[in-house]
Formats: sequence, C-alpha cells, structure tokens
Amino acid sequence: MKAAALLLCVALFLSGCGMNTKLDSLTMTLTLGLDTDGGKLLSYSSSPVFNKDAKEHTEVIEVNASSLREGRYKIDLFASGRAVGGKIQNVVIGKALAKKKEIPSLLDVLYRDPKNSTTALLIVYDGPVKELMESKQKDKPRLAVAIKDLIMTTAVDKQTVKTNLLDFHRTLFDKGCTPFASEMTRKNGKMMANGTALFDNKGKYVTSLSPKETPFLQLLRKEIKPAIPFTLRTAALTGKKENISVSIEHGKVRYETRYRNGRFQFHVQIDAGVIITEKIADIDISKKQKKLEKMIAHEIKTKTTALVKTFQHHHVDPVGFGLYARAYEYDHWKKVENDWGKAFAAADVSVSVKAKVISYGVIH
Amino acid sequence: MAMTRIPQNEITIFQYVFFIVGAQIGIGILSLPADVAKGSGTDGWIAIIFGGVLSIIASLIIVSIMEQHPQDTIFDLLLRYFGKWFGKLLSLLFSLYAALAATTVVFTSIHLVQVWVLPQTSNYWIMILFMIPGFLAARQGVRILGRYAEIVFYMTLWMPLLIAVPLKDGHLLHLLPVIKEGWLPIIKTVKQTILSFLGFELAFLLYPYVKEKHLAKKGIIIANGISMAAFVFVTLVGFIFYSPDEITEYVWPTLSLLKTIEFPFMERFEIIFLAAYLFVLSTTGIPYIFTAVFGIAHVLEQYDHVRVLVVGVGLYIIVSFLYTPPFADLQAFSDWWGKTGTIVGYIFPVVLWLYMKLYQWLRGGKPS
Repeated sequence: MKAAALLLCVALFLSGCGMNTKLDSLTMTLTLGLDTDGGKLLSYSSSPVFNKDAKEHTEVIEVNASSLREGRYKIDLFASGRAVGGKIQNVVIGKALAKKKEIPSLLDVLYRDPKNSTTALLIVYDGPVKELMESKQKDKPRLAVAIKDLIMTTAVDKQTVKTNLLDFHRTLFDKGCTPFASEMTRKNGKMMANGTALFDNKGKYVTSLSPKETPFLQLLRKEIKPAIPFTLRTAALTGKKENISVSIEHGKVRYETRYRNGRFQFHVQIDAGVIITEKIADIDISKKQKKLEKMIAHEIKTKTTALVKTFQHHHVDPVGFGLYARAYEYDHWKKVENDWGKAFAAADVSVSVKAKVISYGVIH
Repeated sequence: MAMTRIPQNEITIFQYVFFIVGAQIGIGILSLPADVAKGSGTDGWIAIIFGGVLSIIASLIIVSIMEQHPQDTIFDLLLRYFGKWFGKLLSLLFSLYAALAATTVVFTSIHLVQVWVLPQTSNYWIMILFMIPGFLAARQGVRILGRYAEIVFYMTLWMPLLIAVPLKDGHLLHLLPVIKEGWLPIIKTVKQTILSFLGFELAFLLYPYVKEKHLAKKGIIIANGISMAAFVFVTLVGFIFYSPDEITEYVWPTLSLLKTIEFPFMERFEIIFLAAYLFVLSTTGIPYIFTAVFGIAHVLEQYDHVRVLVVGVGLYIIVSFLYTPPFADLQAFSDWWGKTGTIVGYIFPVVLWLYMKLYQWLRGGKPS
C-alpha cells in the first residue's frame, strides 16, 4: 500500500516532464527593438544562438507587424527555435517611433503577460534601430549584455538614467510626474549612452537631456548616491579658461510647495556636500574656499534652473513636482491633476543652493 | 452528538489564533491595495483599520454567544435554539456559505497558479494536486488543522520582509495628504475590506475546542489584530511604491510588487513567492472545506465527516474537469462570498445574540 502511494507520488512529479523546454531550442529575445519606417512598425529581435555550427552567436530578426505580439508570431516564422520573451533585457525604441506614437500602447503585452520580465531596460535610440541591432562590435560581449552594461554603468555616473519597464509604467500612470528613459546613439561606429529622453504624460517622446544635463535631473530627483560628478569653468575666479571637477557626495534636496495667486510655487532648497576631484585651474582652495563654494552653488543653481525651464517649456515633469503639489496643496492639485504639465508650466520654481566643500582630495 | 470528539481535538490558544489568522489572510490581501485605492485613494489604509475594528466587534459577539454553551459548535447551538428542522436548515445554510468560501479560494488559487506559474497545466491537474493534501488535512479534526495553521504561520514569517523590499524605491509623499476628501469615501470603502477580514466567523466552530476558554476573547482580538496589521502593512507598501493613480491598474498589486525583485541569477521572483504563498492559501481553503463538510455531516447525522469529505473532494475534482472559471466568474464568486460573508459574519451574530437574549428572558433568565 505504502509503496503504491509512493509510486503514485513519483508519477505525479513526472507529469511535469511532458512539457519540457530545451534551452537550445529556444529563440530567446534578449534585446527587443522597435522602430518605424514610413508608417510601418518594425520589430527587431536579437537572440543568442546555442549551436556550435553557427558562425554567428547572435540571431537578428526583423519583421514588420502592427503590434508587438503579432510581431512575435512573425518572428517565430524566421526563428530557428521557439520565440520566447521572458528573458528580455532591453527594449530599444527608435526615436522616430517614439516621437510619432505613444509608446505605452506598444508595450502593453510586456506588462499584461506575467511571463514577460518587467525589469528590462527601456532605451530610446537616436537613429535607425536596425543599425544598432545589426551592429557587431568585436570588443564587446553580446549585444544585449553590452547595451545593458553600458546603460547601467553610465547611470551610476549619472550621465544617463536607468529606467526599466516597470519604472516607466510607474512614472507614466502617476499624474504627478512624467516618464523618462535612457537614450543611446552611435558615434563613429560605437554605441554610446546619450543622456535622457523625456516623455509627456501620454508616453510620447518630447525632448532629450544631454549627458551633461542629466546629473542635475538626478540631483532634483534626490538620486545622489553614490555621487553626482560634474565639471565647471572657473573663469570667474581666475580669469582664465580653466576648469575644476567636483562631485556631490551627499546632499539634501527639500521642496516647499505653496499655492499663491492662482499658480503653484515651488522652492527647491539644495544643500550639497561636494568633494574636489580634479583641479586644472590654479586656485589655492584653502584660501578661496568660500568663493569656490559660492561658485559651485551658483553653477548648480544655474543648471537646475535652466533644466526646470526646459521642463516647463515642454510641459513635462520628470522630477515629480506634482507629487509635492498633491501632497501639500491637494485641493488645488485636484483641479489640475489631469493636465499637470500645463499647470506646472505656469508654476513659479525657485532654486537656492548651498554648497560645502568637504574634501580636496589627498594633494593640495 | 459531538462528532469529532472534543477532548481529542482540543487546541491551544495559539492554534486558535493562528487558525483564524490563516483563514483571514488568503486571497483578499493580494488585491486589497487596489480594492481600497479605488474607493478612497491612498487613504484606503484607514478604511482597513475601520474594517478591523468592525471585525473585532463581530468576533467578540460571536465569542459571547459561544460562551453560553461552551461545549457546542454553531451546529449544535442552532439545533438547540431553533428546533430540529429549522436548526438544520440554518446549519445547512452556514455550511453552504463555508462551501462557497472554500470554492472561491480553491478556484482563485488555481487561477493564480495558472496565470503566474503554470500556464500550460490544466486546472484539473492543479485541482487534484491541491485536493490530495487538502483531503489529508481536512480528514483530521480541528487539532490537526490548528497545528497546521500554526506551523504555516511560522513558516511564512519571512514574507513581509520580502514585500517590504520595493519600499526603497517608493515615495512617502504618495500618502499625503492624509484624509484627502473627507471621511465619507473612507467609510464607504470599509465595505471593500470585509472580504479580507472574513475568517473570524470560524470561531463559531472552533470555540468548543479551545482549551483555555477564558482567553478566547483576547485570542480573537489578537487574531484580528495580526490580520489587520498584515493588511495595513501590505497596503501601505503598495501605496508608497505605486502612485495612487497607478495601483488600480493592477489586478493583484501585491504580486506585482514582487516582480520588481530581481537577482542576477534569477528573474521573476514572484513565482517562488507564490509557490510558498500556496501554503497561506491552503490555511484559508482547508478550514472552510472542513467547516462545510463538518456542517453537512452534522445535518445528515453522520458520526464521522470523512464520507462527506470524500464526496466533496470528488465533486471538486469532477467540476474542475467540466468547468474552468474565467476571471469574471471568480470575481462574481468573490462578490458573493463578500455579500454572504457580511450576513454570516456580521449580521447573523448580532441577530442570534439578540434572539438568545430574548429566548432566555422569556424562559426567566435561564440558558436553555
């Protein structure tokens, strides 16, 4: 009796073996590309090939389809294995497409089907996606790995952002902020991270921030760790065209929210603790520390104010000023929540910065 | 006519507490953050506290009723007060309610497993796999179920820690301002929390088995408190991570929270979580199956409830061959459970209590 029961148990476990999946018979899309070409939606899939006879270790398939899921069926026609999307690492969207279409509707399947991983990076590519997908770089690992590494490490240095599909979804649906994603391009045949792409509240591409502006977006978003590096000109201090590099190691960013005279007023108070990482200019830091701190503060203020002006001009709010408006001026917020971009464009934003040099490094 | 004899089936006060917590924490918590957010935005957590207070009051009334006849389960009590036929009818209705609850839990669990983990497996296979351990546990009496609930509770203590992981990317700002639109939406939302708190009404069955009866009131307050803390915690994490506008986009926000957790060697961590969460679901489903079967056996005057259980489990398996509930049906099941649960858990105890008072008063103050 017991033996029979045991046998039955074992037999039940075996039932799982009927539907096994062999890794080498799968075409796992690691990088998904989306682009447009004169009204057509082009869908690209780059997947690894596990076969020692194949000369190329990456298989790239291009199809045109009306949606992503339909695209996958078409990809299946070309793929040597069964096409699966559960391991997608990057979703690359052509800038031309992002400008033309609201991308959330394109990405629906990635959110709806729980088999898909929502931790894939979302990247806007400035140029035809085809050239990126088909690029072969001898000094780089597989395309998917190379792209992911590039974005992740650049995001640590704050020159781009790290936005996965889920982050995008969160910022898209939050009425108090608008989504943003990392941007890439190719220069001299090499791919490079190229700042941040900003979207409006419907998920349509609006404008980009350069790699030099992105660190200040991160600062406003309080994403300071591990450090925000930037370089500033010291002409005002020495009269020569020289520069000094600093990095914000820690800091506090506080927002004050008010509603006066029919518009929102935000005051951003930034307290930054910076270290000097490189000094080309001939300045005696210890003597002119106060002046230097003022200069750094002024630089941060100019950059962040300009950034906010850009946001207001384009009616976007990647920082999430709307979160503060909702939290502290709910009644007024309620009236404008469905068109926050416009209300934000009319808002007064002032920035004041205090910088403190906490270290010069180990040489004078 | 004590069928599952009490001395053999006594449970400790801890088992009693965890039995009720297990029955309360089940499928409701997976969708609760979205349910309350629909009604009152990020103030939903306040509604959960109100819901908790309501369920504590209802639980205390239940315990006061049961205290009058410490050896009776609800089925004995109904016969005692309402006579054979009407008492049996009420017992049957109570059992059917438990069967509805069990069915909702079982089919929703199967649906969850199919959507998130095993999309290729037919629902009858999953049903069979659920019913084998379910049968083995429900075949035994209250004591085994109590022990099972206790051990599952300890086994799943790590889960809140994991759910808290997404907090690091959240904004506390989402919770402000507290009480956005006044109290009215919050009070209206309390209704949405009722389904989650159901489970305390099993005290109707459990009370006679509790060894330390003087602690029964304290115990049920603690049980409701633990469940309420879990609900408020999960809801707050959901609100802090997702914006108030986004959270209603998800059917099961609690599971979607876990999708953000990723290790270099493993993606889709929610699969592992859900597999472990099946234990938690089982402590909701099995007690209700047991209650339904026990009640029906009582009505049929069967000495042992196993025969009814065999029929019940058989029915589940047969039904699962013929019928795969679509998501809309599952929601209808949940709605029905919520509605009947309001009657069985909240209204019925009050009415019964008043009836008993009246009955005793007419009899000159003596309990029957």
